[in-house]
Amino acid sequence: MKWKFDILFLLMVLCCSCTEVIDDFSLNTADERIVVDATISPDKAIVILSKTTSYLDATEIPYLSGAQVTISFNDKIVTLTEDSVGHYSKTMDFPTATNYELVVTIGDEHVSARTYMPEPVLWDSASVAVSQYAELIPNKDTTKVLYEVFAYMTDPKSEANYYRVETFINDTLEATETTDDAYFNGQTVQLLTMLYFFDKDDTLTVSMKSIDKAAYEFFNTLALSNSSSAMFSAPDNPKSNLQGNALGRFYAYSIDTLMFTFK
Amino acid sequence: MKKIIPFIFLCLCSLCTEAQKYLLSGIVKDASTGKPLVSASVGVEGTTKGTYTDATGHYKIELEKGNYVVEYWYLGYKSFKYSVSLQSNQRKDVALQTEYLEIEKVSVVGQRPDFNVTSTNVGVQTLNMQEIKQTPVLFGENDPLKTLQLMPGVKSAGEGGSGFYVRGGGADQNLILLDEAPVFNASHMMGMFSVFNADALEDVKIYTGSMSSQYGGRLSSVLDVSMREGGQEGIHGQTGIGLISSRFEVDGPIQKGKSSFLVAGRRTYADLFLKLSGDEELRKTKLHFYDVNYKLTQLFGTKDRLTLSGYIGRDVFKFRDMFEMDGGNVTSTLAWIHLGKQRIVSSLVFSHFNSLMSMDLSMMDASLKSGITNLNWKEDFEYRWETNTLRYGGNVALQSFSPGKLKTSMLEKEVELERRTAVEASVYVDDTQNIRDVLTIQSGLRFSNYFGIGAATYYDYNDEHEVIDSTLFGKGELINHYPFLEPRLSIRYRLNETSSLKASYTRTTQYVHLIQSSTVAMPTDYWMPSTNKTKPQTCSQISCGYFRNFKDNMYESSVELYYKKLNNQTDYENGTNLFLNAHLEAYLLYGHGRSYGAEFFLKKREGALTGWISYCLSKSEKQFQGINSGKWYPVRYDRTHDISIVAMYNFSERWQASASWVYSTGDAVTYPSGKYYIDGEIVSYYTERNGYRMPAYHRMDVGVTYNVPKKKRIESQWSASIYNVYNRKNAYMIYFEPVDEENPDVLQAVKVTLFPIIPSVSWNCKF
Repeated sequence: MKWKFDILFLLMVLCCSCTEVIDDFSLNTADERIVVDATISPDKAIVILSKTTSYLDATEIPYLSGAQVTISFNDKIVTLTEDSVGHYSKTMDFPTATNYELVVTIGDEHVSARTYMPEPVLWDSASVAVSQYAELIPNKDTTKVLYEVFAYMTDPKSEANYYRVETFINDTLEATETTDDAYFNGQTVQLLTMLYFFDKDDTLTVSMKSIDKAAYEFFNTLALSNSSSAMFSAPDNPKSNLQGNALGRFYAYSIDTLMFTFK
Repeated sequence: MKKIIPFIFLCLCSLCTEAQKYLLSGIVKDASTGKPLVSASVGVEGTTKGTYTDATGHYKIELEKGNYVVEYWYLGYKSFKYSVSLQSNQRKDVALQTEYLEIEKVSVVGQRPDFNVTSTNVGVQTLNMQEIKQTPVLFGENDPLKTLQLMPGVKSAGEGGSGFYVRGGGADQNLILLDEAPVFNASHMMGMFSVFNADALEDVKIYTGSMSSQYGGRLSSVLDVSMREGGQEGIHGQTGIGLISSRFEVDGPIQKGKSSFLVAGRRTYADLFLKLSGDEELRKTKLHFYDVNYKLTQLFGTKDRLTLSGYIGRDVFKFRDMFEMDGGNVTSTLAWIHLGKQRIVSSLVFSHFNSLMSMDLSMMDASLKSGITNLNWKEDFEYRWETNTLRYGGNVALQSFSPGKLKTSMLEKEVELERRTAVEASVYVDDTQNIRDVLTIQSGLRFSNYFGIGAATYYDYNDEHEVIDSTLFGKGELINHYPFLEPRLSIRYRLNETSSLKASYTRTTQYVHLIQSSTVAMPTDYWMPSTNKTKPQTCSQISCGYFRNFKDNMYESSVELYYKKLNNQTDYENGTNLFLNAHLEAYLLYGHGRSYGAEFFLKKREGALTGWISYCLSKSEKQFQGINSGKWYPVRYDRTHDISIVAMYNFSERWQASASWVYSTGDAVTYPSGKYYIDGEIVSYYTERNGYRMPAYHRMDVGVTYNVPKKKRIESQWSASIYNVYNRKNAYMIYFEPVDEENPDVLQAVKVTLFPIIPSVSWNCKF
């Protein structure tokens, strides 16, 4: 039977694709565009202004200083202050279930956008257990244990909801998942399914952000925009809600967070 | 008056003399098996008179009194000449010898040797099994679709794959027929192998330019694959053992002279070896495909023939008990051919394509099912007289699309997309007229109709993709109706014995749309019939060509030009969720396509060295509102230059060698022209769709075959081939990644190559 294994081995080697760095690869550099990265959380608004740079080269991010940045909501207008070059912020309570409008003026350019901060949707429950696959999947690092982590939530039925779930392990962003409720409107669902090797004293933080449709579309298209696989369809710029000659997005979120520490 | 009567008499006499013609008729058979040969060519030397045998192998040709040399040709057989002094109606049955028996003199004679000059078709290629079996291929797996990709106007969908694009048309715009049954996904293992087993096939024809009006339903091409019939002279068979699969074929008479059978099968067996593994979990892993072809034939007298043929294929991928992917095609065709004053072909065709993907993990068990069923009834009539061949007929097809059903423990309810039902009904007429042997005109008209049938819900959407209105249609209720007229015209003008000019116009309509996330066939591919919002796709193509043969038809050559316009093409907005999206249609974009080019073809058909050179210079573009700022952009497979060179050499009776070389401009792809940061992460900035090119693709394959001396009834051969002989590292995809972890902002391009140099060996035997 040995020859058969030889053939199998040969096949497996042959079937493996290989990768190689292309040395003299060049890309065009497009004309510079203004970039707006604007976020409102329930307690802070942050707006970062910069410009596009060439794709492959390492260039310092060209932040844009001296812009006028305002956020208006419920007949109030708040002006953000520039903390460091290109970074504008304002710390205060931003109410949920509210529409916000951003206006950025920089030189002759005006950029504006609108967003909505939904009411937060809360986690119902969560479960953590050692996985039954712990022995199946080879684990080189013996101090780590394979856990299954599930978290459940109930989606409000009356409206279309959009979620962004961010998973941090020891404060490092490990995974993000953006979804709408098309498959589970009004149902209780397992929104977090995680199979992961945790070490002793690791912390796991899972944030569920409730966002509006434009933000959902931005994150959803962003995930596709960085793929340039031969198999998949052509990538494109993420869908932006900005008005004016700029790239980026403006969004607001309400949030509910779960935290676990592994003992 | 007295003068007029003798004049009329004289005229009548001359008419009578003119009409004094005799019939030469008979049957053309395979000399070794006795099987009638369908569509064998019969030609009369020194004239352009000729005909083909019908589905029962019969032919008849009307000639004036005189002496003639009549020649009979058939694909893979030695031609035969017969001298006749025709004084009355005569019958001549002919038995042709296969070329396979005398390999030292392989000369591939498919149709009459000057078929490419004499036929009206522009853009038609026929492949015989000998060519398919001799062309070197990946893993030594002979594949008609891969050999087809070496023909002008046909472009491969990707490295090692069996998918193809014809003259700028999409992969879904090829009508693939296996004994008249449409095949929705003609590939195994995500496009790596085609569903066609060369052992079971009679011939493979592709129409890339002009299309007879009997074909319809797809825009860009017709790939007409017919299965072989079992022989009449004893049981014969063949078997082969290859690196990744084995196959067998058995055929023979059931009741000699009346009925026959053919069965062929294949199975890949990489996973059989996993069963020998010590790891119990690994033993549960499956990765294989299998397929079976069959054909049963029954003759009733000399005038009626009934055939039942079919295909069953299945792909299985199972990883432990955790993940399973399963899917396949089933087709079956029941055809009855009656030969009376006119030829009548009735057929009832069933085809079904389904896929199932299931995952079973303790934390998440899910299954996704989808399928397409097509039931087609077809009636064709053919009537020949003097210089005309008239074909007419019609068909009614009932189609049912189940886009997907998802069951998972993560959701309280299962998600199921609504099944869509449609009826396609068409009638056609097609006439080929030969005017004084110089001009041949083939004109046709197809009247196709599409009926969307309930039960179904149709939606209207606003610009925000929100449903603003919905209409519920009851079961069997008519939802919409699209009628289309599809005129077809081909003209051939014969310049002299060895050259001709041809021109054609073809209009086609397609009522199904494939919404695909990738360039290979996936279980998530979504076939959607036309709706009130998504209108049927249409295509108009004009092509013309100059055809010339040299050295007594030893060489054939052609130059063809084409221009093709495609309307109601579909794509989808960036970021559209293609997975079980009930409102996918809200995100669809509609646009146009155009493609034009020149194809050059030179083929050497006879002698020790045979083969061809094909070169195509072309451009294929699309335009959609909402993509690339509404400007025209090249389609991914817009390969400006596309060259194939295929050579086969017979050293001796024992040894043959073959080689092929392909070159094409790199695919048009989208790369970023800048970057920016959002949430501290790099975001790519794109300025145009498909504005960059992959590196050029080229590759050479070689093969050698050794025929073992025949022992008793058994002929066997060893074949060895090397894929990508100079180990060209063709880019399958290119992606970007940070140079190192410390400089996440400095990016580099990384290419993925799929197949390095791959040798393979197989053993085949025939009895």
